[in-house]
Amino acid sequence: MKSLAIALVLGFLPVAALAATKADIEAGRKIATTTSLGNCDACHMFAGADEAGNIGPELKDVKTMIPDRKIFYAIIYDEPARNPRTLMPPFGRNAILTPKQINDVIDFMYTK
Amino acid sequence: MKFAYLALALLVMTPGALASNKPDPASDLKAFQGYFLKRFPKIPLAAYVNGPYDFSKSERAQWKQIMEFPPYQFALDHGRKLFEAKFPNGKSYAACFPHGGIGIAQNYPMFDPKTGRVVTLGIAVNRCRVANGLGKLKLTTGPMADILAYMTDTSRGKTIDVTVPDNPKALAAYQAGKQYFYSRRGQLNFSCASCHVQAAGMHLRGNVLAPALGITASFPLYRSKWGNMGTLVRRFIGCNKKVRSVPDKPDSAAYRDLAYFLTSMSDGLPIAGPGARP
Amino acid sequence: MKPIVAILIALALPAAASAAGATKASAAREIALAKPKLRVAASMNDQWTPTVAALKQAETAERKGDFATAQAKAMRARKLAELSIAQAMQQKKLWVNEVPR
Repeated sequence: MKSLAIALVLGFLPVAALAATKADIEAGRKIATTTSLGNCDACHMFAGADEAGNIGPELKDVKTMIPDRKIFYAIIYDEPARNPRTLMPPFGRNAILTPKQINDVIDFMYTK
Repeated sequence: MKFAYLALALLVMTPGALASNKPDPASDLKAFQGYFLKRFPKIPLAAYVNGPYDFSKSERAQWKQIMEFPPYQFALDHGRKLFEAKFPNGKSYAACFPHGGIGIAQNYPMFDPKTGRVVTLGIAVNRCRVANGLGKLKLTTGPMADILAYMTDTSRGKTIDVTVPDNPKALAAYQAGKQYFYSRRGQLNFSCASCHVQAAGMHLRGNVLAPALGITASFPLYRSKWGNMGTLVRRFIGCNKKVRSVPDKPDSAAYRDLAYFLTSMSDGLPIAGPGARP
Repeated sequence: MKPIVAILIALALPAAASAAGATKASAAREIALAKPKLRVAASMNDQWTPTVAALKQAETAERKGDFATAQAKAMRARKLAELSIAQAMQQKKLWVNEVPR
């Protein structure tokens, strides 16, 4: 099961890494700011967020913060696997977002 | 699996392990309250009943203004009428409770040795109704919340005293409530403690997350978001749904035990309900 | 015996996953596979709301004769139920880490 998940992760990465289109970024923005989807701004402040929370770190200059896209993907996919005490939901593992949606969020956050 | 049972049997047989595994509400209380007092040294213990208002100046100012005409006043007056009204058999709620039900809210939830279960004040009110030939009231809002508002108001300022007796079933209920409180659940993978211990005082969107310490003291409360009164169990249901977990039944053992644990962690704080929240 | 069954199921999965091939029988089978998982999740007091929603959508689609949707939603319901069961199992051990000391 785990290897399947890893294969899935690896399978999606290069495709999305190729080039983020405007549509990808816009899709990512929508996911990040929609309560029923990513709801990122409930906990993270980032430019353009409305009434953002402060439970997670502010997302600013994200490329410097998390230069490695694979690590960024892993953080969104299953941060509790990396850090058991985190409050960040395992968006990928718990099927809250699809791999495509996670990649869209990454594309969007890399513009911040 | 067999190995697990063996391990469990060994644990149970070891006297030292047995002693350390027995629930210890008194030392839990010390650690729980100590955690908050150390983390927020400027907030005195009794002030925790103010919940989010200890953490946001603007919300606190708004609250002060709102409290000039408390939004729960109508519920409080209505609750008093309901509480004092005679049942068709001529009796009333007062006969079901010690001290006629006045100034007793600080002792609930209470362990009932007869049934071996935890009884919240709401469940006690319903028991009283059933004993007098009436139907149960919904435990979340409406007339029940109003009755609880009145009863809680007669306890305002009294010290919360939910002492867990040294009874195996009471301790088991306490322990179950504790485990529920700290267990992550729902698709979003949050425990009660995730928000109300770990992220206490922080902002989830525009809302300040109230610390678990003192959180029960202001229930039932008028919540602006609801537009009416709600009980503690209504809040449990709301929190469960928020983390995408199917809520339990309002009178479930899970919620009784959770209320028991959570309220006992506020032992020594004053009752401040009914309350008002954003 | 058991591993063989597991392999057979695993082999059957990709075929079942393609909604295009869904039939009345395959949709009903997926719903029947999901239901016991939901019962286990509920018994562990950790049912997720999206799990219940997905099963409901599956059953509604089945009634309307939309077997592709019925099958896909039933598979999602089962997946989510399995995830919640895993969560409940892990939390039996992990919850103590959240207790302030």
